Amino acid sequence: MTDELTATLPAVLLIGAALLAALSGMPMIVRGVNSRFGQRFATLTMVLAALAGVGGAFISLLNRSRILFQLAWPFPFGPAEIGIDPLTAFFSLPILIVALCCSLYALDYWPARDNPRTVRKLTLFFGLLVSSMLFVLMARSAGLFLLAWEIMALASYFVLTTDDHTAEVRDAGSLYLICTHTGTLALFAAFALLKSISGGYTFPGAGSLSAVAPLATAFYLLVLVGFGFKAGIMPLHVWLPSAHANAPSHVSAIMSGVILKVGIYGIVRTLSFFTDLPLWWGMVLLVLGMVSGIAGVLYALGQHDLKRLLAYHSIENIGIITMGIGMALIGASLGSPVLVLLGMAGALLHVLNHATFKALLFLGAGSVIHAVGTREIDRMGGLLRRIPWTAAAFLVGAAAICGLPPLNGFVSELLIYLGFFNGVIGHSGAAVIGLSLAAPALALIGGLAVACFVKVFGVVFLGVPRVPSATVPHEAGGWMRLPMMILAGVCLVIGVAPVATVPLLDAAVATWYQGSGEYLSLTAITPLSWITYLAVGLLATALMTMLLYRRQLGKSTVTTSATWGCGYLAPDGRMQYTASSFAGSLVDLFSGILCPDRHAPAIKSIFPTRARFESHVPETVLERVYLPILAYVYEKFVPLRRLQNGQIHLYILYTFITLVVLLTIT
Amino acid sequence: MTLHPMGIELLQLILLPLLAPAFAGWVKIVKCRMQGRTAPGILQPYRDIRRLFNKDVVLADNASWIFRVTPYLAFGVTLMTAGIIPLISVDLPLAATADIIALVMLFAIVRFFTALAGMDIGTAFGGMGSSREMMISSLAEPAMLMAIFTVSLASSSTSLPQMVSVMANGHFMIRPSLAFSLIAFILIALAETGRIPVDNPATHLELTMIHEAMILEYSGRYLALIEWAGMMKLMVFFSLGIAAFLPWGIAGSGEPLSLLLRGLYFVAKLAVGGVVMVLIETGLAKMRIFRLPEYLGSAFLLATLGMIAFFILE
Repeated sequence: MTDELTATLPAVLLIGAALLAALSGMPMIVRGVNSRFGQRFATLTMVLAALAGVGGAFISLLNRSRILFQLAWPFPFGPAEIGIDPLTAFFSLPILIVALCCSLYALDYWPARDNPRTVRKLTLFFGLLVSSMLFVLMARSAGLFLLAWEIMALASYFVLTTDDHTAEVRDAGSLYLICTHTGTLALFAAFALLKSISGGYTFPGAGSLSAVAPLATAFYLLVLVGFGFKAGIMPLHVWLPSAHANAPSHVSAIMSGVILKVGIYGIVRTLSFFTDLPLWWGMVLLVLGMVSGIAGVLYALGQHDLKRLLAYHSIENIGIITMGIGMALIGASLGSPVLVLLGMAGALLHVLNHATFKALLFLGAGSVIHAVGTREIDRMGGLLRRIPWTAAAFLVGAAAICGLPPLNGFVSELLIYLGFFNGVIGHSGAAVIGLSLAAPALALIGGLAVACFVKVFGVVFLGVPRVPSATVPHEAGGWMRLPMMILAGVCLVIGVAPVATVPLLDAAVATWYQGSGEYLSLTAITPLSWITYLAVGLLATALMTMLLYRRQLGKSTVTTSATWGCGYLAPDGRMQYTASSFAGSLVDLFSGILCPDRHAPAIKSIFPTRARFESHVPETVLERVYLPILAYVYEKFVPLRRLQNGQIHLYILYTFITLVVLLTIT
Repeated sequence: MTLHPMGIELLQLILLPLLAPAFAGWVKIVKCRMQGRTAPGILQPYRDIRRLFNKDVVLADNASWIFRVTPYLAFGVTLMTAGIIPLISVDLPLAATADIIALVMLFAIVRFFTALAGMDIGTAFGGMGSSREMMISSLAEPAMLMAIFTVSLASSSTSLPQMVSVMANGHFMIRPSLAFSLIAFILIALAETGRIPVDNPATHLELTMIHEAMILEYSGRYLALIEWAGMMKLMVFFSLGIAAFLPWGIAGSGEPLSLLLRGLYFVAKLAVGGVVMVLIETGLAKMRIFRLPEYLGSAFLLATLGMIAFFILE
């Protein structure tokens, strides 16, 4: 292929994918169009968009091509630029893969036949959401970026509130809307500062600005707040658990798998502008990552709502990604390309990995909820026999998120671990203390994640049902199983052959960091090939296991009988450990952070009476920090509310006065 | 004549499952002597395993495939760790690049599935065992990584064979950092392998058991595999301790005579290590389960102290 073609082809494919995605839901606007046809059209279009986009992204990554277009843009904040480079291409991979799987999943999960009221809105905004995310990645100027960002925020609000007849969903939506706009406000301020730092609204190239300028510090902090809200970094995560829990499951999958990653993209992209990074920039991100990771997994342990629990795990994984980015920044300020490469490659790979396994888990959760009709895991149990396909897919996702080989979560966490080890050896000072504490923090996150997923899988799928259900749980339909199989396949492929991701990661990291100019490749500094040996060994072990299991090794017979219940002759499903009792000891241990609500019966007489035990871990940061502060502010600002009297002509007057004042000042 | 590295690798893979029951038998003998009881022979664990293999299996009614697959998986994955840890040679093709994180993750796989198997049978005991095991292991894992991390700092590498050769061939010096991490490692190894004061492998008392509660429903060949894997895990932790803290006499050529000598040296180290463990087990009482976080917390702090000592003193 000629150079020009390798540069323009990915652009054509990716922009085409974005436009196709936007188009996918459009027929639903037309009143006469049958909604079943509309949904199938949308899925087909999304499949085409994903195929084209993934192709384009691969071409761009493998050739490291970059291209920049300037658009006619009559508005302020101009000019508008659209660009494709390996970083954009890398982030578009998870978006397209997850969008493809979610839109296939919707065919059986949210069929037009059963949801005539909501399917039009959902399909339309789902397409717009995917499209706007791709445009956020491609935007290279502030105006276009914020426009796409805002469409993304609004589209995700509408898909999130699909079930808007319940109050819980509306509350979750409002909280999301408030948080996302607070974040956008910070971004407006940040891009206004960018103009004074770099002299324009177009994004400067990698490493072209000095981070020493005082305005750069302000820019960094604003960007952290603005994108941190979207990514769900603690303590800006408060919208995330309720939003992910209340959205339809395939929307949760795309929100958790991908929208959070667009926030991460924002951080990665804007930080790429700078050179001469001060050490504390990286340290701040590293510490935020540790806090998000540990607190996220702890809160997850305390949840009994399946989707809320998964949402907290997203915060945990965002924490791991943030730790990787923090390490890359530390590497950049120490002038260590190895640290930059390991940290950034680990973070980017974890972006892709988390998108696949978390989408897989949310889709699995969706088909569990479809089967039993509740999100409460303490009302489930024994589902492995009823829905074996979903159970197998969920098990793959659970093992991947725990970082167990031979799945993909292991690879990215290993890169970050290796970075910590490398960073500590041969450096000194504050960076070393930070990095050396981050390694055990990551181990703690991993250990607690294993505990949490043993809890989830054990309580939901194993044992016997805890509550007799009225109907027999049914397995998910084919269109729900297929995307789960695709995502599980991606998890396994990356886990077994991580070497395949090396050129992609190398290209993306090289776009981000052009520090010393020397060419480094992941293959040179990490032993990725042994992961393949390890994985093959493990798969061989599993295969042998399967063979032995089938052949029933030995001559002895197998008989089944009731489980031993300590001599009690009528074992019952309620005797099993529940989610709360499983996590009880760990939640107690960390009760200083979690502040669990617990209502235990008081023993008053020698004979037991009817008793009720309740425990739940609230969103402590929201309830103990934000709400009291906001209530205080609300009270103090009561007099100001007279300005807001609901008369539109007065509002227009305010706008007019503001304009006049601004014009006189500038 | 020298043995090919791949041959040594295979030798290790055979040695571990063969030697592990003998080591467990040795520990039992020393413990019996120490407590004034008559000891069974060193071959008793082999007889136990054979007996279990010949017994019929009784499965719980609601056990799923997870329960039946776990014993094989636990055995296979524990066996794989023998390929990574230098027992009698550092010249191992598999171990050359694999490192300590892979080892930690292999143990995590075994734990993940064993804990799931505990939840699978649908009784209070299984869940109780899984819950407790998860609490202990999730706190022990960072402490263990921290302890090994300090050793890898001292030898500037995270690959185990590399660590062994650097430590064994360098100048001998008493490093305070390693002393701290050795104590931390011993505390964690006792927790991870389910020994007193954390867990009592011999108990089946409902309220105190941890690991045993998880595998309570296993019988016949399944139990044999689980027990065998447990013995291998014990030996692997000892070998890891030896490789990290007493690495002298592991590295060497592939000549059969030298290999044999190093093998004997390794067995001697194991035997002494077993005696030390029995001393700890006999001298201490089992801890209340609610106090375990303090125990693991102090292990973590000791490991951290070790690392800080490294930065301050070296």
